[in-house]
Formats: sequence, C-alpha cells, structure tokens
Amino acid sequence: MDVSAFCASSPVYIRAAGGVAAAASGTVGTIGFADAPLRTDAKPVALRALVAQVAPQVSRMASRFSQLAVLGAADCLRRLEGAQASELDAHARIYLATGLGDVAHTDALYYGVMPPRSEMPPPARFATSGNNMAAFFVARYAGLTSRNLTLSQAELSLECALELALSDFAAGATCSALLGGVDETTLPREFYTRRFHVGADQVIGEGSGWLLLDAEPEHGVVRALGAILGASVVPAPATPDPNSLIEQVRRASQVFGVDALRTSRLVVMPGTGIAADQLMALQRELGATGPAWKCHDYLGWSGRFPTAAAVGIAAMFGPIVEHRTEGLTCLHVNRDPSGRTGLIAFEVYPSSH
Amino acid sequence: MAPLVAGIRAGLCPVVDADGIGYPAPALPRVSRFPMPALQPGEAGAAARLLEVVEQALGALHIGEDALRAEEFGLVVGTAGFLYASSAELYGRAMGTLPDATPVSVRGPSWGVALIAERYGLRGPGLSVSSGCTSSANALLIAAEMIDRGRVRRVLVVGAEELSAVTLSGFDSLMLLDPACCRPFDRDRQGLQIGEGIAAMMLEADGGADAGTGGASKFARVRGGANRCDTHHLTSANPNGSVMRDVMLEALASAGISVADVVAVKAHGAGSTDSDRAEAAALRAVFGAALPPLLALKRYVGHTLGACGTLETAALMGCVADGFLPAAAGFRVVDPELGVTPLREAVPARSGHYLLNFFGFGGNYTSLVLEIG
Repeated sequence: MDVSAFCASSPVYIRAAGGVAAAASGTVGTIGFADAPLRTDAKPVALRALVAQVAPQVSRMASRFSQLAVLGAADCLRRLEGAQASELDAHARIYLATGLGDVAHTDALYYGVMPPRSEMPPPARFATSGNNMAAFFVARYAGLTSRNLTLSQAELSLECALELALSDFAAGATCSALLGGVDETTLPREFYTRRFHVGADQVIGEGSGWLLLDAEPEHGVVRALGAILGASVVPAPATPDPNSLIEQVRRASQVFGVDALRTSRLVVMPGTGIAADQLMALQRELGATGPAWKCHDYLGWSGRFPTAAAVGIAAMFGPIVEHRTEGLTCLHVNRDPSGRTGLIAFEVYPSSH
Repeated sequence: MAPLVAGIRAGLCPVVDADGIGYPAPALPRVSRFPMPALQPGEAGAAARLLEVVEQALGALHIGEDALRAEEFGLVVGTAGFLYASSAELYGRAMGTLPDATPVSVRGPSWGVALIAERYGLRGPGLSVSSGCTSSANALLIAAEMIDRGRVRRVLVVGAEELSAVTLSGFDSLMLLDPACCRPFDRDRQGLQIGEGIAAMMLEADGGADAGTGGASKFARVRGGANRCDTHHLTSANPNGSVMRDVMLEALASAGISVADVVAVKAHGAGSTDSDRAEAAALRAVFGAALPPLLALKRYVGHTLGACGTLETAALMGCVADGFLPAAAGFRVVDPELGVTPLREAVPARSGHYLLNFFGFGGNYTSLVLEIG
C-alpha cells in the first residue's frame, strides 16, 4: 500500500505532550521513576503513591497498568496551564494503544483462580482487570465522556491508533483527542521478553506517553507545540526487499511533506523493531541525501516496550526541546516481525513559533 | 494540580547532543528477536476455533485469495480477553500434565489479528479493539468508518470470546451471575448468563456490489454508530442512564434518522439490576412512550462479552432474514420501576433501521444503527 493511502489531509496539532517511562537495562537501569534504578527482576517501581498524589480520584484498586496510564496522561495534561486546562474539551476522545495490555493484573487473577490456589478472585481485583479499565481511569481523571477506545496491534499499536485518530479528525468526527501508548514491565523478565518476542539481551522498559491533539493550531494566545503531519502502516513487501524500508521512509518524507520543510532540522527516530543493519542503512542513506538528518535513538532511556514510540515522541516536546529556537521535523520509523512498517511524521515547533 | 515527582525524562536525560538532538550512533543493541513461541495446548484449541469461524465466513462469501490479500482488505477483531483462553493450559500445568515452561498469556490483545492475518496472508490494515463488552461492536463501528472514509473496500470483523474460569468466578465474586440464567428487564432479574462465542461479519463498500459475493452483504447496512464513556463507576452504570441516552442519540444522529425511524431496538439487556435499570431509563428518555419493539438476546446466546457486538448483530440479522423478531426469552414479570417491556412473543420483522445497544464495564457504551432488510 502506498504511504499516501492514509495520511491526514491537514495537520493535527499537538497542544500538550507528556508521560512517564522507566528502563531496566540488564543489571542496572539508568532511568527510573524518581531516580530509582530498576534491576533485572527487581520489583517494578511502585506507582500507587504517585497516583495518589497526582490523581487522588483514581481508585486505589486500579491495576498498575491503569496507574501507569493515568500517570502519563496526567503528566501530559498538567502541561496545559491556567485557562487552557479548563478549556479541555469534554468531547475529546481517548485512544489508548497498548501492545500487551493489562497482562500482569490478569495473569495474577488466573494464578489465583486455578489450582493449586483455587481461590475466588477478589471482586475489586476482577472488576479492574479489563484492558479498557486504564482508558476508563484516564477518562475519569480528565473528565472526558466521549469515544474511548483501547486498541492493539502488537508493536505498531501506536501507529494504528494514531491512524484511526487522524482519520476521525479528517472526517470532522472530532476536534480534540487524548492519545497515548501504554505498556508495563512484567516479571519475571524472561516472560516479558517472550511475550514481546525479543531477545534476552534487550533493554526492556515500560512507559506511558500521551499527546493532546487538536484540530486548531492555537487556543487564544497559546499556540500548539507541534503537529502530526501523517501516520501510516505500510504492508510488508510482497517479496523480501532489503531496500524497502529506505524506500518507504523516502516516500513518507515526500507524502507527509517532510521534504518540503527543509528549514527545520530533520530527525529520524527508529522504533523498537528496527534492526541494527536497517538502522545503519537508514543512517547511511539519510546521511547521503541530507546532512541535516539526524538519528535519535530514544530507546536508550525509555527501554524497549511495544508502545515505546509514545514516550519517544512525547519526549520530543520535553523541557529541552521546548526552548529550541528552531523547529524539528521528525519521522518515527518502526517495523513489526511480519514486515509491516509504521511511519509517523510530526513537527516540533520552535518555542518562538 | 500537584507537580509530578516523576515527569517524563526528556528534560532530564542526556538525549540532546551539543549540535542538536539525538545520538550520532545507536546507543543500544538494536532489536534481536525471540522466536514466536509455538502455540501452547490451551491456545491451539482457541486458535483453531477462531480460524474455523473465519473460514466459514469467507467460504460463505466465496472470497478468493487475491481479494483477501488485497491492500484494501481490512481486519478488525474485537475481544475483551481472548488471549486468556488458557484455563485448560494452566489447569494442566497445575495437575502436572503440561510443562510449566511458558507464561500463561504469551500473546498480546492483538493475537487474533495476527493469527488470521498469517493464516490468510492478509496485507491490508489490521487492528484489535479491546474495550470490554463493547469490543466487537466498536470493531464494527471502526470497520464501517474505514470503509466510509475510503481506507479499504472490505473489512472482516470478528468478535471472539472464550469461556474462562476467571470470567465465571469473577462475575460470581461480584454476585452478578443469575442462577436462573439471564432475565432481561424482568422484575426478578439477578444478573448475567455468561456465554462464549465467535462471530465473523464482512463489511463491504457499496453493499459489495463489486465483490462478487452474491449480494449477501447487501442484507444489512451500517448506517451509523457512536461510542461514549460513562465515568460514573467502574462496573455500574449511572442509574439515570444519561450517557446511554447520549450514545443512542448520537448514533441516531450519525445515521441521519430520528427516533421515529427506528423499527426495533436490540437492547444490551444484560439482566443485571443496575445495567437494565440504566438502559431502561435511557430508552424512556430517547423514545418516550413510543418505544418500538424491544429485543433482548442474551438468554439465547449468553453474554459473550467482547464478542456480543458481532454475535448478537449476526443473530439479529438472521432473525430478520427469517422474518421474525424473537421474544425476550427469560422475561416474565414486568418491573414497574423500569417502565419498559421487551417482546413477550415473537413478532414479524420489518425492514428498516434497527438500533443496537452494547454496554460494558468501564462505562464503555456503543450504539449502532443498522438498516436491515
């Protein structure tokens, strides 16, 4: 399928971005919640106290996956300051992308119900076990009662959710949306890597990254932080082609209008499924065709998880980038084991924009 | 709002080099793959059942391999917990008849999509919707939108849910199972009757006019739909039914029809005290005294949770095709508090617009408008 098959007819603007992330890298992680390093098979960082502080209205019974979702969404929305926050459209839709869903919470239910324990599940624990509960808690936190979807497509979950959201904007079905990607680390680590189908050498992580999308480039005097230029999931080539990724990136640059924005710095962000040889080839190609291209490997701090793209993209609107005097045009590239390619093009506006 | 102790780390991490942004070279070992695990015994049965239903659906429509592999062929699967078709698996391990070598849930929520796509070599867009009991209803709505917006020409929509020990004992622990089975809108209703099922439906552009499917898909048309979230409570609907009312009205508006155009309503009709009370309040608010025939199907097929969207839609279409609307089995005694009475006996079906309700935990509510016949 051509990349042009499904991109937004006009940009969708980013009003706010934020999230949380943690990586566990082998023996000692370099990034963690509140500077707490994660170790292999260490107990995941407790989130309940953070949630109680940030979103006390969220049930104490919420699963850790739901807590992660709320923390990320809260971090995104807290960046809407003053009047902006009160302007949050109650009709904003929620799109929550996840590769693995609320797996730890549900697994624990299974192990409790089945022999040898053979227990009745605690009612509250069962009630909070659905994959869609995280999006419910985000909706309750944000006061949003419109469309609320939990979507999954393995490692291209974020790309698929964004495609759907962009199509809703393009159709005029919505003018505001809170879109995020959420996945949690589950232990033991061996099980996590098997679920994710990655090698044991991988730096695993978890996170919750969110974007507040809007049809308008500004609200009052407050301008958008950036814009989504397009998103697409491209089928695997009918026959194996080592150059297909390069071609898809090149084509996406044209279709999404990235090539036309040569005044900006151009950044390629390789996702979780881009292999070493593909990344090297991508860098060679981009270096040859445009010295302004740079590669940003955010997985070094986020760790690898199915929706890591969400925190990678949200982080581009973080404190350092906020004070940039020049814009960035970014192309996130990912590929799943079946060979499908996910492409997301977006702009980070300079702070003087 | 209090500041987060742990904000996103972008501003705190050394991700920006002196020249701009990003590392000049990869900082991490790039992805290496653990091979896709073979199907475990518990999974194999679920996978086989899913593929069998899809095979039946595709066979009935005589869709060839080329059409399946077209990039304009989409797949949307709705399921609340199909990946947890593992009760037998876990039981076998506990009894020592199966090795305890892999995690219970090896697959993610999109496993069904991957299974079907791999089996048929699908190349078009695929997506899994996991919004609890509205999963496959939302899948239908998304599929219809994909076609309306020109993304694809044809979408296979599958709802799938298998019975699990956790589901049964979980609803039991919530005291939401009716020992006398589902009694929708009945005064003495006590809760759900859990079911399991898989249903596949094909949505096609232009009624399948160019599909060579014998016009089968011209039988019903998705005219509109809506999805909303009621944040009142995790498991209980707001008794005033306000969000259910809103989602029905939004669905009717999206279809461009008025309440007077609705020839019948397929209620969610879960049989639980709270859900039926809220749905009845919403139906009164939408239709007033002019409520058209009200169907409730869960006594026949059980509450199939994430699969009920496609399964009950298919069942309704089958009934209309056979010329009747079934009685709301299980209903006996009018509940004066509800003010609605479902069909006591089967009546002839009319062609026209049907409103279908699907409501679930997490306040996720979906209404669809289908033109049938």
